[in-house]
Amino acid sequence: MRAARRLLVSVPGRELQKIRLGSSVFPAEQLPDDGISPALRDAVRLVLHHSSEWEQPALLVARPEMFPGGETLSWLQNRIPGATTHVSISDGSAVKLIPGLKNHVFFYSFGNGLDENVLKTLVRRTSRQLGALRSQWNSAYALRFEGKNVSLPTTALAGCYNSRAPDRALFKLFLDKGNIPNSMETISTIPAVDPARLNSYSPITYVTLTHSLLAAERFRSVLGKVILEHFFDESSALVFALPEADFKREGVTPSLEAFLAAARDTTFPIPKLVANNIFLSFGELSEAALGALDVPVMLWSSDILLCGATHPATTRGSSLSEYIFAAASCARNNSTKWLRFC
Amino acid sequence: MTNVKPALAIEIGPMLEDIWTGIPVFTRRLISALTQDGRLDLRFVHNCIEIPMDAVRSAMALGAGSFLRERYEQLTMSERRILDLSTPVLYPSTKSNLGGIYAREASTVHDLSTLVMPENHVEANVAYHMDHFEDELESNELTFAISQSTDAALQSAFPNTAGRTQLLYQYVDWPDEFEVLDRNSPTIDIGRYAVVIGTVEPRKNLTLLIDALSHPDIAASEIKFVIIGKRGWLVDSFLQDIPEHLRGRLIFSGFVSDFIKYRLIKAAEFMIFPSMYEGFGIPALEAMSLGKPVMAAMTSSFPEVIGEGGIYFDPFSVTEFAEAFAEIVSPSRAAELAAKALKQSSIFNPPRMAAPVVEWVCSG
Repeated sequence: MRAARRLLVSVPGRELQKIRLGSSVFPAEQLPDDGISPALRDAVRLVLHHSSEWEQPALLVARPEMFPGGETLSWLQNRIPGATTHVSISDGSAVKLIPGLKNHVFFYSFGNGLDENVLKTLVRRTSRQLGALRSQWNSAYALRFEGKNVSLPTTALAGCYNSRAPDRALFKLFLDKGNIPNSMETISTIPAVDPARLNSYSPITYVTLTHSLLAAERFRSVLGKVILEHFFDESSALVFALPEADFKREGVTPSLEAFLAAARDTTFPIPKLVANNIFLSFGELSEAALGALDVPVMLWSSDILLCGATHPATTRGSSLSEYIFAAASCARNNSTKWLRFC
Repeated sequence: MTNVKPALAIEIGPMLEDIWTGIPVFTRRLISALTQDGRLDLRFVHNCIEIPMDAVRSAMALGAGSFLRERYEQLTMSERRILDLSTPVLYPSTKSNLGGIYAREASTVHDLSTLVMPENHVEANVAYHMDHFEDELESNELTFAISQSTDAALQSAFPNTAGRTQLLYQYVDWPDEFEVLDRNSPTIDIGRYAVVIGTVEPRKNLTLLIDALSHPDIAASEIKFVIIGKRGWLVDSFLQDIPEHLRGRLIFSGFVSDFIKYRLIKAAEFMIFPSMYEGFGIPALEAMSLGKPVMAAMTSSFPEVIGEGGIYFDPFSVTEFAEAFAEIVSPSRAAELAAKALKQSSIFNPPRMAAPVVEWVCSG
C-alpha cells in the first residue's frame, strides 16, 4: 500500500533555539507558537493552509542537515513515508536540502535590508546549491550564477491562511504624524465601517501587510505615496489588512502602532484628517467579503509595492489564489526582483 | 637505479597553534600515517616557505606548536626557501588563501557547520570559512572529506565537486605510555559513570541529557555523567530547571589534558555523544578504541564512525534517549557492544588514512 503523500517543512535553526522539541520529525502544526518569531508563525500557517488544501499533511523536520546521506538519511526516510516534497522555510542565512526530495525554499522574513543582504551573501557563497532548488515560494529572487541572472521558478501561495477569517469591520485612517497615541485613539473612536460599504468605491486597492514589510524603508516611501494619492481620489478606496499574528495574541495595538509609525516615517505629507476612503482591517478580510464586492479589487502584494511595479493585477470575482497568481505573473513580466505576498 | 619517491608537501599552518586539539591533531596524525606508509617524500610548508623537517618532527614529539611557530618566525632570509610550486600540496583543513598557488592542490573539509548551522557561529567565523570556499574548491585537484557524511553535505552544497572528492578517515593514537601511567595512578573513585562529550556549543546538544535526567528510568539509575570539556554558559541556565538531587549526577571536568581524558574514558562504562552535527566525531572513536560503546545521536557522521559499536537515539527525543540508555547499561548488551566498539575502532588506522593521499599524489 502506498503511503499518503506528505509535505516536509523545515525552519531556520535559530528559530528553534528557544524551544524544546520532542523529536526530529513531528506534525508541523505542533511547532510551538511561543519562542518563534511572528513572521515564521505566519509562514508556517501559510504552508499548513496549503498543505491541507493539497491533502498533504505537513511534517516538520527539525534539522535536515543532520541527515546528509547514508544511514542517517535512511533513518529519516523511515520516519517520513510518502514524503516527496520539502520546503525549507528560510531566513536567508541557510537553505536546507533533503537528498532525494523535491526541495523548495520559502524566504519568509524579508522586507528589511539586513535579511536581503544575508541572502545575497548566501547566494554568493553557494549559488550552485540554490540552483538545485525546484522553486521559490512567494518570492521571485534572481540568482546570480556564473555571471548571469538565473530565475528560479516562483510558486505563489496566496496569503490566505486566514481565508476562513471572520468578517471584519473596517476602521478609517487618521494620522497625526506628531502624535501616534492620539492617532490610535481617534481611529478607535470613529465608528467602524461594514466591508459591504466598499461597494460604493471603485476601484478598491487591497494591501496585505506584514511587520517585516512595515519595517522596510523602501516600503515606507511607497506607503506614503499610495496613501496620499488616495486622499485626493475619493472615488477609490484603499484597504490595509494589518498583520494578524499579534492581533489574536496581544490585541490590535502593536499592529496599528507599527502601521502608523511606518506611515509617519514616510517623506510624504499626510493630511491630519480622517480619511473617508482609506480603511484599516485588523487581519485580512475574508475571501467571502472580498468576493461579494461588485467592484474591481486590486490586490497589491507587498513586494509588488516594494519593487514599485506599476501594474498591479486587476480582477474580480476570483479566488484570492487567482488574484495572487495574476499578480505574480504580472510582477514577473515586469522583471521585478522581489515578489512577496506573505 | 634508485627509486625516487613522489613528493608531497603538507601545509602545516594548523600546527602553529599553541595547543593542539582538533585540526592540529588531525594534521599530526596525517603526517604520522604518511611517514609510516613511507611511499612519499614528505615536505612541510607554510605560506609557500618550506619548514625544516626536524622542526615539525620536534613539534610532533612535543604535541604543541609554540616552538614550531617560533622557529618558523625566526627563519633567516637565507634559510627561507620557497617550495617548488610544482610540488603537490595538501592542506589538512581549509586553505587560508584563495588557492591556485601550486600546480596540484588538495584541501580537507572537516564539516560544513558554518554553512548549514550558521546560527551556531559568529558571522566572522562563517565568513572566514565560507567567503572563499567555492574558490578554494575550484582550485583543488581533489578535495578530501573526513567522512561520507561530510562528503554528502559537500556535494549537496557544491554539486560541482562531484567526482573530485575522496574520503580521508582519521584514526586514534593514544601515546603508548598512557596505559602504564594509568595503571600506576590512583583509581578514579566516583562510582559508575558515563563520559559525555560536548558542552560549549548549542549544537553539542547537552540540553537533551539535562532534560533526560528527569526521565524516571534515568533518574532511578545510579549512573553519573562526567562531562568532558568547557562548561558552557548555557548549562547554568538549564541546570536551574532540574532538581538539586539530580544536579549532583552531573560532573563537569572542565578542559582536561589528553591523559586525563584517556583516564576518564577508560574508567567510564560508556560514552554519550548527543551532538546534533559532527564532521567525524573523533571522541567517539577515542572511546571505542578503549573498548567503550557509544550512545550517540542519529546524525551526520555517527553511524559510519560508530557502526555497531553503539546505540543511537533521536537527538531531540528524551524517550529515545532513555531507551538507548536502558539498553547500554544492561551488562550483557554492554559487553556485546564493547567488543564491537573495539573492532569498529580498528578499521580506522594509519594505513587507511595514508592510502587516499598516496593514491592522489601518485595519480598526477
